[in-house]
Amino acid sequence: MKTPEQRARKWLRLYPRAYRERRGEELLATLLDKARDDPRIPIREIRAVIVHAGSMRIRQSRIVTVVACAAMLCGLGAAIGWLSGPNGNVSTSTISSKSALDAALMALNARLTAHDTYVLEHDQSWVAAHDTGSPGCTKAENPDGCWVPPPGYISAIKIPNAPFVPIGVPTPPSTRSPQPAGTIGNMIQPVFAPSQYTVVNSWLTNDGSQPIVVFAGALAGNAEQGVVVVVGCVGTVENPHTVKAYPTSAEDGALSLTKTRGSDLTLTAKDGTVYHFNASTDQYF
Amino acid sequence: MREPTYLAMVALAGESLHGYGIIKEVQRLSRGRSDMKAGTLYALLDRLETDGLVQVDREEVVDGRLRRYYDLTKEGTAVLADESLHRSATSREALRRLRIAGVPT
Repeated sequence: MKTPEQRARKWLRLYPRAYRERRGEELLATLLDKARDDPRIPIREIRAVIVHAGSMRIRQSRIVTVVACAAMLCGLGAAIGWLSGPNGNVSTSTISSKSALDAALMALNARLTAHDTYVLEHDQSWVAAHDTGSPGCTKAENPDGCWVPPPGYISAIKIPNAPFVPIGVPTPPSTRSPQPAGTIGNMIQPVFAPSQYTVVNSWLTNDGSQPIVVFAGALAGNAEQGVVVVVGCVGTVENPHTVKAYPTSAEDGALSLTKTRGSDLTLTAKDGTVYHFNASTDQYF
Repeated sequence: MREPTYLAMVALAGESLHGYGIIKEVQRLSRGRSDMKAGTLYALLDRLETDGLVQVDREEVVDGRLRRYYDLTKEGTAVLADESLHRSATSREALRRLRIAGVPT
């Protein structure tokens, strides 16, 4: 179990290094002061850090933050990616920071339900995640109402000329044979084109009924420095999906998959930070 | 000026506070309605510092942790005064119109 300080430090790594050096300890102290009231560090706090960190990176025009969010075909999964690279070669002027941040929040805190649908589009050079609201939701099912996107609403980000590329995440040995993307009974369709990501692992749930697929990708040219996308995919549209993205900074380098068991997996960054992930039950932390 | 910015500047009027102190004071000023997040606060402080409205007053290390205290600059004080007068005038006008409309105030 990580301490509040460890958790806070992890999230503060989202800030550009220069900003961390200037404000990091002060921000940490404030977060921990607040954590005295609630040692879990509420997600709302983390969101604010993510939003601020994202805006700092965008402002510096040195970082490209890319977010992708997707629903798998056949209602069998959900996928999200969040990418970033400190030496991104994309003009940030083409990126709407609000959309980027909206999408970042989705990427890092998405818990899709039966009434959420995210549709990913890409044409090799950009990705976009659209929240289509709650199609099929009825008042009988949901007395509190169904969310309908307001006119013009879009949670999307476009990254021109920034194709995704596979990163060097090795496929670990597993008693369950990893399978190439898109081949699990043809139920899973890759979010990105096959040349754009690596399938880290795929397996079935313990009862054999559902596939789980973990993808990873990074911005072209930033394979060692970009943020790694990790996607959990499990369940059906009737059951909640949980998806997570694990950012790594230039200091971290790529993640490596060190352990899998059922729907659990452990990822280890180069700096030794260990991320645990349960594709079926995990939430933010 | 947005409400969080205004509240933070009010919090710093007449005293210097560190980050958590500002958050607590904003919470008190807003009667618990505003729970300012740390990320939000520092985004706000960045902007106010850039605009020359707040400045670092001093730094302390408490329990091994850095606390940086901020206060308003002269310009910040002037901006806050101007904004407060404007808000006050708007409030008076709103109350006047509500009274005319027969709404108890």
